Amino acid sequence: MKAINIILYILLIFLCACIKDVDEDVIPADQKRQIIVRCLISPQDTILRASVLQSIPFFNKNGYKYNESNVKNAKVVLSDGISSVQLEYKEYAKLSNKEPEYVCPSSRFHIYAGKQYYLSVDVPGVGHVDASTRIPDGISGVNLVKTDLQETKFGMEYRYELKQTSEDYQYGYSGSAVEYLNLGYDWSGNIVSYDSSIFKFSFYFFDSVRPNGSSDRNSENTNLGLIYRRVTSITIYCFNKSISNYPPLNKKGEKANDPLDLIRPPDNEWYEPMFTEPFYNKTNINGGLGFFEGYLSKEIYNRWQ
Amino acid sequence: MLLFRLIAILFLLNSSHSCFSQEFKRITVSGQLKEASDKEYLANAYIRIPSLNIATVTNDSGFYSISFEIRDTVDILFSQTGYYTKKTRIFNSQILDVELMPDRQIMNEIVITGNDTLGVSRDVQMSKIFIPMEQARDVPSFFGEKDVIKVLQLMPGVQKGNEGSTSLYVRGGGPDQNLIMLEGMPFYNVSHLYGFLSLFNSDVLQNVELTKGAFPARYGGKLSSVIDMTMKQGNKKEFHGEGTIGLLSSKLMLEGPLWKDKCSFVIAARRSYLDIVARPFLPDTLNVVYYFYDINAKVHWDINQKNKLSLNFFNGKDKFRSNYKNEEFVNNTKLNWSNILGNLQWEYLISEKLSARLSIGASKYKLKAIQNITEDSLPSRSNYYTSVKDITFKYELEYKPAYRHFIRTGVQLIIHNFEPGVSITTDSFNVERQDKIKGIKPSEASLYIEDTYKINSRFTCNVGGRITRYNVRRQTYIKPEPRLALSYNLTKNMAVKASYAIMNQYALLLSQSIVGPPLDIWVPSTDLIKPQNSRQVALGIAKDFRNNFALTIETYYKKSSNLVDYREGVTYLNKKDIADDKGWESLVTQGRGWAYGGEFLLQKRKGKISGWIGYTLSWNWMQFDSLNLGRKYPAKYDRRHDASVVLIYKPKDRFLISASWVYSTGNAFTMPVSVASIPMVDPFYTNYQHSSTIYSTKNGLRMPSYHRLDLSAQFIKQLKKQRKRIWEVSIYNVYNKQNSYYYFMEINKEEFGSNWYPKYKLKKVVLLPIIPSISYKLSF
Repeated sequence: MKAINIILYILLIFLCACIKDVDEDVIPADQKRQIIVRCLISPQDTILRASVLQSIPFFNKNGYKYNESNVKNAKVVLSDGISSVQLEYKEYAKLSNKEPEYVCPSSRFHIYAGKQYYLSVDVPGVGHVDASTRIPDGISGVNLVKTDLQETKFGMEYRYELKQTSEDYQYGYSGSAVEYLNLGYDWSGNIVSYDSSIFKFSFYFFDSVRPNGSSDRNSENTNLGLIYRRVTSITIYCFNKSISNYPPLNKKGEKANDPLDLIRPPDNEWYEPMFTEPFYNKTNINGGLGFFEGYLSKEIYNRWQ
Repeated sequence: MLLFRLIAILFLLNSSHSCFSQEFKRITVSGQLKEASDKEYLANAYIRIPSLNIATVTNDSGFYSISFEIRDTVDILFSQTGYYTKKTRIFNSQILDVELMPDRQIMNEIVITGNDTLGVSRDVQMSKIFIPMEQARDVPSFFGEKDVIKVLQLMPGVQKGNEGSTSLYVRGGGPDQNLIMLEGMPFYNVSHLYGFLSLFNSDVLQNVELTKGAFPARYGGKLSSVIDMTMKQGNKKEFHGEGTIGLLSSKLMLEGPLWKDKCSFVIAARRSYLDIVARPFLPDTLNVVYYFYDINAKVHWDINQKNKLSLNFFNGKDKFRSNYKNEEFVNNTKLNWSNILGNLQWEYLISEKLSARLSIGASKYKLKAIQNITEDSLPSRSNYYTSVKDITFKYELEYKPAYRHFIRTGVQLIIHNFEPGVSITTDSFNVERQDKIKGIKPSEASLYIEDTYKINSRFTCNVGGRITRYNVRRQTYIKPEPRLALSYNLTKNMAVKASYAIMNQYALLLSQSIVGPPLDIWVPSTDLIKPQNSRQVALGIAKDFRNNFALTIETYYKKSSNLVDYREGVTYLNKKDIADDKGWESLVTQGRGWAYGGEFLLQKRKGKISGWIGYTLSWNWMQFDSLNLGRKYPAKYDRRHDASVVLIYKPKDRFLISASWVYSTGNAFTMPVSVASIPMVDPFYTNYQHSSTIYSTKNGLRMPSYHRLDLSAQFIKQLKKQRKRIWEVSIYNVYNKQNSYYYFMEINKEEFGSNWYPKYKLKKVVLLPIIPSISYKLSF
């Protein structure tokens, strides 16, 4: 694609010769901020959480700091259609590296499988958004079908093979494992020393699991369901199908090129490249961005020898 | 069913009329119309019998045939705009070739008109604009480069793309939806100079006809318009030529007999010289060369009274080359795109009522880019290539059984060969990697029939249909396309018209929304990408006034389906982004569009002051399930208002001044308007977010309205030995309106760094300020 970049560069050079300041109102000065919500609820949660953020317009209030995107004064109400609860704003200590969120103990408002829930968010001066979701009925669509031992450089390791057996829901998993750090090798390439620690590995979807075992290019991991680390626990998640609309599933196939990789003019003056198509984040938040979804989870523990 | 009923009614009407004409003698007069001086055939000339109130026009070869019933003798009038009308009295069937003398006075006064020879109220077809080239040359032009495509942009219902662009957006359709033909040869790319000039050299063009709707069945393969251009045949009596020197390019056209009165040629060549002009201003380390050229050629041979042969050829190329060199770094870049087309046409007059035309042609469009980089003595090479090749066979028949009928039928076969993209990269270790999107070779076979049927003195229709069989991979599409045009004369000079047409398109353009040509890529419909389809209905009135005024008002509604675009976020067909088990189709999505509006055109055809006023009120919407979150959005060139005023004033033979003013609603566009942290789905990490640009809704913003005034003055002098010279001075964008070409955000460096997010300034690119130009033309 280098050759295509060349063509674009040529045009850029050509066009740069005629740059002018804008003296007309092309983008309305009162460009609205958008409310962004992240809320995943589950019967297994001990605390119900929701994050409320806002977009930062480029042209009516420049120079926002990052933490100004968090909304502190929102009214966040979770409801099942009959009863409701308001989530309270909570900030964490800076050292915890956790962003502020709206919380409520699940003891005050129970979440049940198979039930519909509603979320309403009001931000003074910005607007109102709402959304609804239904908690999945059950989490029987993923089974641990195989556990065996495999010899690696670190000795014998357990291998888990998870299979999705139902297409009714979208499944995902995450887990904990032993991670090896600071590997030391001898001249022959053998590991002679290492440190280890427990780490929580990333969340993945089962979107690649097919009957023939082949993988989907949209997945992060080409061997979904096969875990080679010294896994201490695996958590399986069950979502509604709509979950696959939201990040991080909007990746490679949807947005082929990182725009800045495609066009990066020499002096990097241009933030947004000229030649990329816009990309819209999907959402189920009416009037805003983000998502409100229900899920179920179950944990599989391994007694590591 | 409606169509069949209508045909049945028309048939009955015709039969009933025949019952009352038994006592008359039925005769047929046919022949060809030529220009008296150079023996060129006159297309679209008007043959009229006033006493019977019947008329016909010549075809592209100047051939006509008219049948009627008489008792005694009748006078036939032969006329063509810019020629003296000739009258002949006839009393029986005969072949009658007629030569018309040019009326220089008229030729110098007229301007672009609608179908000037027939009168807008007399032609059954609506939504058609006919442009004689003598007239197109009087309209002010960019850098003095006479460009017929830019003249078409001044007509209602036709909109330009970005400023200066030769792209045509006809009734909401994209530039790929125009069937642009030169002597029947279809073009895939019509641009020079990154789209600022069209390929078509006005010196060799004879006629240009634009059809925006009510498509006759003989045209197919594109959704929105047909631009049918014919080349001069060349002078069959003596040698002539034209040479033009302009600021951007120079051109030379020669024509003359190869065999007197039998065989003629015309050849024209044009080359730009930006490279020569810019060279002295470039630094020693940088060598940049850019130029384009094109060559048109035609040989026309009248083998005998019944057989004619013509060979047409076009080759145009744009070449860019840059060499940058310093001690550690060398960068050699080449970018070429070219069109090469040719066809052979054989016309055969089978009888006085029946003629045939066989055409065999081939075309190739290709884009090639090469980059060689040497960095720290390590060379690497990158090569990109895309092309479309076509081979076309066409056989057409024209049959005039009676003056009330004019039947055309034909078959066409096109064998396509698409190479959407081949990228070959050789790295510094001489390891070659080829990313090739597999080529596709579909075939497109069509059969059509149409009849222009004059039901009575007031009511005329053109009814027909086209059926296409398109084969690609293992998929076959068979698409019928009914066509209907109706015209009813309320008075002698006023008609109401209606039309309906279904069109299908199999060659699709993936358009880079900002750049456009040459980065657009042609791809075929496949088993996964369905052919594009449109249905258009139009209604209008046409009136011819005294003093050569003509008025047309039309409304239309067009609905398109299976329109094609890149998927969200995809910018180009890149093999790396295509999954191994999927084709390039995975980067493409399809949707629908609908456009509606009204068009107004008031023309003054002749006189010292001539010109036209055009106005379009239109809406143009699109909806793709996987774009803009599935919501409908305005098309990029959705322009509520679009107006043009053209005035040409010629007080005497030696001087001409013209002006054109255009106004249009600003382009719709999309910009990032804010930035946000978008949470990601991970129940484990609640802080899992990514910074994302939030765009306005697709095409949800508007540029300010666009307007511009162009002026031109021609100083004409007749020299000895039939020579003529023209000095033309023109000014583009006279009041220097800073029309926006594109908006972008620039980081405000002075305030960057203190905050997480930088401050931005909105900037715009203004491409074409006031541009004076001068050119010199010599005809000999």
